[in-house]
Amino acid sequence: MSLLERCQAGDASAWNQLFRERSGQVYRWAVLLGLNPADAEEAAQEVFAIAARRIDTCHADDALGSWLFQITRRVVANARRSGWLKRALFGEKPLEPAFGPAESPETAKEIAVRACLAKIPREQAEVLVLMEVEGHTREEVADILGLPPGTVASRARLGRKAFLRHWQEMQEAAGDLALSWGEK
Amino acid sequence: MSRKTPDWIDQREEARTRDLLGQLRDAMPPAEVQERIAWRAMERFERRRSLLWSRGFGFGLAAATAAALVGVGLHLWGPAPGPALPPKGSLHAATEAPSSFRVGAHEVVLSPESQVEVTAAEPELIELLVTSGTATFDVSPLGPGEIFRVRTEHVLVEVVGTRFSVQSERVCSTVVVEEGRVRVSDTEGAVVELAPNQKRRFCPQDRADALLREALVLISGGGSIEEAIELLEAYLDSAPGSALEEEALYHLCLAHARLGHAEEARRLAARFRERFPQSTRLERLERGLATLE
Repeated sequence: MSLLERCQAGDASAWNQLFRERSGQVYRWAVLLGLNPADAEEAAQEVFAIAARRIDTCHADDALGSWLFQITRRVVANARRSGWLKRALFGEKPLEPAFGPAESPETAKEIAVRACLAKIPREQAEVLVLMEVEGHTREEVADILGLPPGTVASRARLGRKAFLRHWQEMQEAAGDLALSWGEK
Repeated sequence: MSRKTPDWIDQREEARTRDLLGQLRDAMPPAEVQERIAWRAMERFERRRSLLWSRGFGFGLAAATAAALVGVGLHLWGPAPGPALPPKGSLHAATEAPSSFRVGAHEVVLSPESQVEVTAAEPELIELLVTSGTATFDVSPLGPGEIFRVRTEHVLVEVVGTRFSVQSERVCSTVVVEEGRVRVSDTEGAVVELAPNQKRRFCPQDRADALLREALVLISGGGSIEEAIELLEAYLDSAPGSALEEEALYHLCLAHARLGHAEEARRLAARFRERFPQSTRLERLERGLATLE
């Protein structure tokens, strides 16, 4: 029996296996779609709770990943929506390192990439995450998101442009700051 | 001469985006985070399963018979049931107004913007986790072998029959005892007992250092200077006299200067001069302040 079939049959050990195998991936999606680490952790748990309720709607073992992504994007959108008032009043919280030790040399870059992703429209960010981080093709992304391939290509193109524009602005701002403080 | 076509530009942008985003392809959270997500997801799964089970049978023969024979029997002849315990894993939160809930015979009052999770709820062991904000605990006298304890990320507070409050902040936790005594263990294993009217703040050094790192990442990454200031101030507040105080004070001063807060920057520069008169950064600091009007 496949993992999906065992989960659908209510096998607790299969669910345990699924949660362990996918927790890192679901957390990564939630972070890249704009949540901070603590909220991403909550969101990942919520994704799995929904998955447990709706497992009968997943039809193939190899579709499990894309099915979980669809749930994740909705959960993240809800989390972002429900936090709008807090953000409006207090502004966005500073991004915290999500993937590794804070002293890692890659952390600043990770945070900068996430900051740029957070600034582009959500539907474009979803496409970029699926294509450039998860390595899916345009057709696969179209399938996962239920969109025509042309729409995916257009969102990817616009997303890349916006992402690189924010990246450039961030680099320039960092350069200005370092210069004004007399050190690089 | 070759002409830059839109396709060519698209390809270049695609490669650059792939290069930047592709670095996160194998990014994974720390193992303990993965473990926590899986464990909590499993807990929710089990809870839902037992709920479904009880629903499935609750309205059938089992419920009718159990209610008639066991429930009534217990009520008439058995011992009186103790006050109900909340389910393990349940979350209690207060948003804008204070709220309270009972854990058996004990009462927990949550200040606004506070949250407490029930991590153990058995007759002999009650354990609560203050995830944010402040919670005040009114603990009834404990029977022999009964344990009531409260955790935050930074401390474990064990009760000896008392009234006390625990505040969990970003880096530190504060414990205030109103009545009775509590025993507090910090993350390094040090244990202290607090008596009535005693208040103690516990600040693990590694958590404080994380604040400073986060502030420096913000500054070097072109993030919000206001947020960096907040982090640096929290660091200096939680780790007075630490080895990195010079670093934090220096950047805090320049951050205020950067935002044009001349008075605050000068005040901090004076503090820096007083604390680190031999620092090689003093000259750079003076130069930075000289640009202020």
